[in-house]
Amino acid sequence: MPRKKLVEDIRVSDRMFLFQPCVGNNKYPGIISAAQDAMPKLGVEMVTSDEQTCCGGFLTFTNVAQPTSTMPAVARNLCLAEEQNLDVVAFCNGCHTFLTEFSHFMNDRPPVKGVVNVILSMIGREYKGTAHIYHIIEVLYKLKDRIAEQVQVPLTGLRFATHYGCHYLNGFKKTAIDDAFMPTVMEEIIRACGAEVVEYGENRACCGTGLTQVILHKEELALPHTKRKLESIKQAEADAVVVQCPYCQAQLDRMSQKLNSRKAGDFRTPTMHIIQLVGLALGVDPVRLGFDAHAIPFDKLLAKYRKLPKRDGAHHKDTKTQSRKQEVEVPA
Amino acid sequence: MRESPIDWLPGFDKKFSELTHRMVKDLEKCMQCGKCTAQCPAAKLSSYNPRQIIRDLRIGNVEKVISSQELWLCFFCSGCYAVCPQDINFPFAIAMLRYAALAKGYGWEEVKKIKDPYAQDYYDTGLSVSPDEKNLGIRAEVAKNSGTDGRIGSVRRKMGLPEKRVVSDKALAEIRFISDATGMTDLLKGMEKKKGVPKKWNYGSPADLVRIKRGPHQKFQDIDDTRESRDPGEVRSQKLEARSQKSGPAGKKE
Amino acid sequence: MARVGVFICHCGVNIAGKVDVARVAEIIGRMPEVAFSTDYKFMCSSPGQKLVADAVKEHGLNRIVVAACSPKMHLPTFQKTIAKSGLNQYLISMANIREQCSWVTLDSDEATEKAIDLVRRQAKRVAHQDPLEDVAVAIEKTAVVIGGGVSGIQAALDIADGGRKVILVEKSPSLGGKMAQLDETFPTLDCSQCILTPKMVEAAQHPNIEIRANTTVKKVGGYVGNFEVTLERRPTCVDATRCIACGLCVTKCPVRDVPDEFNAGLGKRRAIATPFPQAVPAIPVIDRRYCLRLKDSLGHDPKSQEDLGHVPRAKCGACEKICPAGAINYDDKGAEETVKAGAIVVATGYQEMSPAVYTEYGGATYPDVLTGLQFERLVSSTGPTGGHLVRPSDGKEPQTIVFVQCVGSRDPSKGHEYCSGICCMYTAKHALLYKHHVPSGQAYVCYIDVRSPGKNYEQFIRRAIEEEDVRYIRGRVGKVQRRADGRYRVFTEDTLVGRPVSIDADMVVLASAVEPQSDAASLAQTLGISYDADGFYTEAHPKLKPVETATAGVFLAGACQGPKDIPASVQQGSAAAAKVLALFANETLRKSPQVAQVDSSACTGCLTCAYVCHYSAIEEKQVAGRQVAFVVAGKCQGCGACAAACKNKAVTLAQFSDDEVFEEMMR
Repeated sequence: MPRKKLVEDIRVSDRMFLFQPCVGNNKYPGIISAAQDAMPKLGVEMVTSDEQTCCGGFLTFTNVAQPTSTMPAVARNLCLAEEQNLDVVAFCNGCHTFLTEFSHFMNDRPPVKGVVNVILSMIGREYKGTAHIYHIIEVLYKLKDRIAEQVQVPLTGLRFATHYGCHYLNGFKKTAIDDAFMPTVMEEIIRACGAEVVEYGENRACCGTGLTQVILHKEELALPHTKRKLESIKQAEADAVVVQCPYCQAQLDRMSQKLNSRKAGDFRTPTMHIIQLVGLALGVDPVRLGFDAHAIPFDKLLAKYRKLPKRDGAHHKDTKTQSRKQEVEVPA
Repeated sequence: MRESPIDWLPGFDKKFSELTHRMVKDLEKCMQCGKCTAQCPAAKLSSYNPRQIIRDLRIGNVEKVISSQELWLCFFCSGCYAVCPQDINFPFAIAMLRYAALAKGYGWEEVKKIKDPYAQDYYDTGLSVSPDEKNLGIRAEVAKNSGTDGRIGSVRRKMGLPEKRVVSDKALAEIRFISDATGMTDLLKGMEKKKGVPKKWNYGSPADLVRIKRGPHQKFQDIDDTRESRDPGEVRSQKLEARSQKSGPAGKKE
Repeated sequence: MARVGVFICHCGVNIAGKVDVARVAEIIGRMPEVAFSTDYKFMCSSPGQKLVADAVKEHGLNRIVVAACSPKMHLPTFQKTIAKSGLNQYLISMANIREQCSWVTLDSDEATEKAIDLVRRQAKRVAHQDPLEDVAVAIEKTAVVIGGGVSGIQAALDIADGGRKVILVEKSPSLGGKMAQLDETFPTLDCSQCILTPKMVEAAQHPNIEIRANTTVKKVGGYVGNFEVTLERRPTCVDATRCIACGLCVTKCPVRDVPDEFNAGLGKRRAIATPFPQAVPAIPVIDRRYCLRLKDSLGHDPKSQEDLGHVPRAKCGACEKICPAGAINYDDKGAEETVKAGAIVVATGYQEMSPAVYTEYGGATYPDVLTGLQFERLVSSTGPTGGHLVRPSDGKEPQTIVFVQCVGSRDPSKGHEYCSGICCMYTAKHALLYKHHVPSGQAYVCYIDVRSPGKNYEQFIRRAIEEEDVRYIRGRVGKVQRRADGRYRVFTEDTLVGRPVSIDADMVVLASAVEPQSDAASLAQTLGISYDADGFYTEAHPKLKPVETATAGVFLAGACQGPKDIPASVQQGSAAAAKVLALFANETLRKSPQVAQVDSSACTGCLTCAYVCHYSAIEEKQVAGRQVAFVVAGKCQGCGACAAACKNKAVTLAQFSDDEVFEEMMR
């Protein structure tokens, strides 16, 4: 059940900083373009910056760099938003975690902030700690009613399974906007888009990306775990599983492909980011939603989608993806 | 138990707080209830056991924790933190303990394997994920789905995004400066020379790891399944020695 | 002419280990007003007291200073000693050279100097103290017991058997409390209602006990011996003087789906109902939230009717029509009554914490994940299934059951930090009851520790483990997952082995925490008693005064003071009764004379003192044609606010006159 007081405290502005997730840009770029097209329909202009890099905090938790190195990097990224007086929207559980944790750490410990700013001053920046960091799920939930109003293609009859991932709900067990074990905010957003939500047993299981994509060579260990999750999702017979993190998206999408290729399963449920789903409902051109970058295709879902009536009766935009019959040479 | 007589002196408990860079408090509040391990996905798959690690730290078996293989199996899902009645931020402790392990020479081979895909990409391009898709299977699927050559650049172009996410030169100069000034660059360079001290399975054995056999039949050895249980009420212990003993010689890394 | 006797205590090494007591005695002995000064090892001992008594006689002492521990420890001891020697007991002062000196000063020389200073000040002060006589206050020898559970019933019975009148106030329609909801009690597995109802009936029939059911305490005024308690009975719409408890009204009521509180939310009852068959009083009560007929008199539909999905029918009156005694009265507005009482016993019990926050267990969400009380109701023959232990979801008997301990207890994160004390025992009992209902079934208990301190308690646990095959796993449950087949997978760790385990179960019982009632805090404020950070009422001393509060005349009994089992609740009920009977045993109450007094010749009648008095102890009085202030000694608590507020210095607080205070303060 959502925490009403925390939801009340969310402030959505008409311009917010789109913190581009690395996995988003180089694996699932649809997240970025979906955000850029969908959010303005909800009254929020997404501002990006070429100076934004990987958040940096992530390097701490892979032990590649020490907090002394990564904290200034995180602070530097936040400066970019602060300089434009914008709050930050993260589209990834990881980005959100590292930006938030590190900014709280600095704000709670002035000496640490001071040292960070000494380093930043050498590149002409100063971290003040004023930018608030939101997760896209928080912004979308706050705008839930507006989404319902602005829906162009009610996703009637489409069935979605949800996967919140770990870092947002678990890592922020008291300050996230929903409960870690029985969350409903994503379900409510999906329903606001007109679709149905299906339940499945392993819905709060971790996707396993931590051991697969972060500490790469242990993926074989995490694979049975992810397989169990995918089996459970499969039994739910959803049109797609909706996530709020590109790392979860990468794990579920790519491990489906891996297991399929080993003939260890037949996992066909595609994985979409919540912003892609909202984009779909708001009538964003599916090409811009970037389903092409996925390993598990969206054919079936898009076929159903094309049959859905639009609210004002207009035609669907050209949404055909490339025919799968065409053979494409894959460079070595 | 405690590793040396000197460990019994007062002020011992501060020892592990030093380890965790004083960033993790409250390990002394652990009441060993086991809720963390109960829901831990890594614990189901191996001999990793967060509760036991805290216990070992509390009684002084610091070396045992730091030299262990198990320390490097945490998924970072934070499920332990979510269920902990004392709000102990254990994933944070794991991250800090890994630093302590590295300081003593354990675990460099783990970090080296992710150095290039992450830190190097970050240093070179500002993003910690490379646009290259090394997994040919994935590339083939993306090529099929997108009608392109499967490179992410081509897909991006098709979507109306610039082919490459470019981070400005100014930004690259800034993050490189930070990396140089704070010692990250040197750390990365010096990592090549680091020879890891071999880690040990201090909480179990390699046989505890779930193995995926890649063979002609591509069978998977699951620890559990989503089939409905056949034996009502049977307590399914995740001890895997019995299973892996049945399946033949274990411990062979794929 | 003051002849002060000074006695410096060593308190073993507590004082003498730091303070040079001989030197203190010697230096103090040089003061002109001090006629005798000595030091001794243990002043509070019999020889120590004899020392004082003898010195009073030998040296003609008329004022005493004892330099020792805190006056809170032994002032009454020495007061009694000097009283026996013929001195007024208020001609003594104590210097605290332990808690305020030797225990908090590191350096010996500093401590000795400080001790000398402290004693010197008391010696100067005591010379100005006047003899005082205790104030006698009348006592109303009636007790009000709030709460009709086993603890309150026991207190009421003991006070009543002691010949005093009791008004037993209970907010629900019947006596019995939580114990009436239990099936069997540990460790004897007695039928709970069978052992409780005799006491309930005894209370109902006792000539000295008046039961006020459906009643709460609205207001309390007055002070010990002279309380004025305002009771409020809510409208029940059934006239207790006419009702013959035939039960016909209940059978005719068309509203059948009211959530049943007695059955802990399982099962339904009617809009007019008695909570359980053996209820005392057995008078049914109309629930105004759900009664169809009451729509008219309220003028609108109670919201709860909408909750039930009813279309309100204005013309119901089924119970009134069928009642042979004419006891139904829809116009009942309830009643208020003020009673006089000399003592109040608070025995309001506890409530079971809702496990809704434990979403990892599906608490209050999954149909077959129940709380301890819900399980009790399921196995009780008066419960919603007539005692058949079945799953609420599909009515099937559970073949595997998992009991989860410590849900809401020992959990600073989202529950209570404390241990609820009774769950280890009642869980073992539940496991045994389960095995008796389903002999072929398997029961698991997931625990962190097993707490079994009482008589035969440990043996009870061993019986469950060794004789009845209840499987105990040491590990707190991390998650309960609901499966597609309607069963539940419970994830825990066997910490003694060091591996995670999972159990597929048909039913999960959460040992939900004991917590204070939701209205405990507001009742505390009404009564003027304190409660701790967890919400339990605070006793006057954690070790030595378990049933008294800091408010004279208000006593505690039972779980409202802290989680406890039935024997402890009964013990506290009797203990509180003993305190009440002791209070009532005297003709009058002797109250401390350390009260304020108004010098009417100096008083201008501005009544500022009355305005600042927290205890309503100051009244107006006419003296020689003038209006002046007057302190009611019986009510005065000796706080001194009036003395400080008086601009004319017309009010003096006994033992805190200007002379006394300045002698103690000045160098």
